[in-house]
Amino acid sequence: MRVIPFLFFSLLVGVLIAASAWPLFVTSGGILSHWFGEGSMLDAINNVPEQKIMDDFWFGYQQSMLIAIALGILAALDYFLLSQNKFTWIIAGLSLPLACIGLLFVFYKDPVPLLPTFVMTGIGLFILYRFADLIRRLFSR
Amino acid sequence: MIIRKKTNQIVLSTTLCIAIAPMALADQAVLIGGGYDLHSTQAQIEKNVQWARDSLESVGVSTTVYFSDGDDPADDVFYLATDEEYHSPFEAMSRVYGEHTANRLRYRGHSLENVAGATNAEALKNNLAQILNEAEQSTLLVFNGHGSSSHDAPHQVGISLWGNTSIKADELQSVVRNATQPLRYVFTQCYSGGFNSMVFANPAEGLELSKQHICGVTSVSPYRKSEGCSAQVSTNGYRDYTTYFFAALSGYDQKGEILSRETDMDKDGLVSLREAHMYSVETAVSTDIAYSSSDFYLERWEPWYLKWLPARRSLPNNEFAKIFRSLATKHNMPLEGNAAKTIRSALRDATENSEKLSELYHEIQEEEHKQQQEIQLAVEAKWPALGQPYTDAFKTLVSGENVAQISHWISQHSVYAKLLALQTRSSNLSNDILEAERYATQLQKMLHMRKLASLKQQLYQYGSFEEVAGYERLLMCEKAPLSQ
Repeated sequence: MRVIPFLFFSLLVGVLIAASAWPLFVTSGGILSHWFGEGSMLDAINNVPEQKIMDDFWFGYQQSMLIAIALGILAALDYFLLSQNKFTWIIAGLSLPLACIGLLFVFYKDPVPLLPTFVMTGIGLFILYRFADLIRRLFSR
Repeated sequence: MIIRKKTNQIVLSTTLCIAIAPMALADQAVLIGGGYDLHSTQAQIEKNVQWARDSLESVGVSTTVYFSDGDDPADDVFYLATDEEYHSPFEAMSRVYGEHTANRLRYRGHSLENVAGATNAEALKNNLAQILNEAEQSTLLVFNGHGSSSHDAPHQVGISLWGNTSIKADELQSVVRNATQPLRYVFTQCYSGGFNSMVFANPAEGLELSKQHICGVTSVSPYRKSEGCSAQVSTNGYRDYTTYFFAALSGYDQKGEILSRETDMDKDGLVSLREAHMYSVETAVSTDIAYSSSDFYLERWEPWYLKWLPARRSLPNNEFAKIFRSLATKHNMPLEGNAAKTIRSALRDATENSEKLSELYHEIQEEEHKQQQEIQLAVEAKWPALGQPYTDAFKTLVSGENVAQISHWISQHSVYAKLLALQTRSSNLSNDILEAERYATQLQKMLHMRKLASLKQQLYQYGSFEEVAGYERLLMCEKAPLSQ
């Protein structure tokens, strides 16, 4: 693949990751809250109007934008540098779960209990990244 | 770093002591009660206002009462006649025509003494503003009555007042804005939690507290209906927030019996607003999940990066965890491990049970309606005027001996005994539904306590100095006793 189109596609992967980071974080938190039976979100679903939950979701989206953009840039760089070579392709995208775990340990004061949510978010982003790659490969044949 | 933290703590403690100093004076209480018209002013509201007044005066707090139409001698309260009072010739007819409950209703003027005035919104706002401006001591504002919801904006919930008027939470905040002394409140109506937004400088958003020292307690969240407003005169069945809160304050229940449990948790000889609130939360078996202003603060504080995460399974050791443990033990729920999951599973079962009971209730009501129609057809074939109330023929028919004759005829009808049995069953089912909802609420309350326990811990972990100081200012306000 030529450099310019590949760079463009890498940026597209970055945008996809940046846009999906917050929804995936919320989904992971929701699944684990449901699994453990405990979380503010579960209580909100039963006790707070839907509109308020949506407002909180959009507020979180806006507030997390900078972090999501950072993850997007990381994904774009990762894709551009690692996904073309068949050896580096094996580890391409793994930077995303690692970055999520890194974010947890940098920003949270009691990170260990929250590890599953961040790992799950990272894996979710990794799957999305690989899915985008799969699509590109299918269409570039 | 450690030195800075200690200095912060000293500054915080000093600030709080200075801020709370005026609260040490005895409170005066303003009690507001009643519905928005005669048909919404149940006897329980009147009883509760009298109960709150007696309880407050017993601990040395002076009271001023505003109740429905004030001094107007016209009827402003309704109640259900007791079995002793109720001897109606229309009993059988009212059962067949679906007016059984209505037939028991009685109307009268309120029996409260020394009422300062009516509760019409405009007059009440002026009176409140004057009382608060002239106050030389802190004021306790207590409301017993009905509330209106606002699902989009909690600060827009309201209290419904006489003459179909109302005051919204943000309107009330603008009334109390000029208060020179601290104000505390006890709001017991539906959706009362929205009134906790009065503690903030901007009721709509943000965590900055109002310059005035305002704090208080409410019976429910901004999105929930509260228990209460029964037309029954007997206080035995009352389980509303007022019943528990003021019992904690005075140490006696509404029947005058001493409480089985100590409510002065810190043993300083005085029961604070917070102690009475915590007692109510722990003891009440009702459909209320009570909120204090500091609880509301915690929920508003919860930051976006924590809100969507699963909570820790092990609880921190604080007052909310203590109440959770007490409730869980009482209802045979696990304290550790999968506690939350088990409670949620029990909550699902309880909700299903309540829904099944409701379905059964509606089925019985439909059956009841069919049987009523069958008797109505039979009785109207014999006395056609019964089918046209508000006519001269009807008036002639029901005056004199006919009523007894019709009642006797109805009571001998082959379906009437079945109808009576169905009506008794639907009445019992209605109580069962309420009990099922009360049990479900206890489970919800356990989850709520777990949430608050975690939130409080998170505030101290993640909150800024100002945020923690704001929370502690509210706590100190709630912890100040009502009288000295």
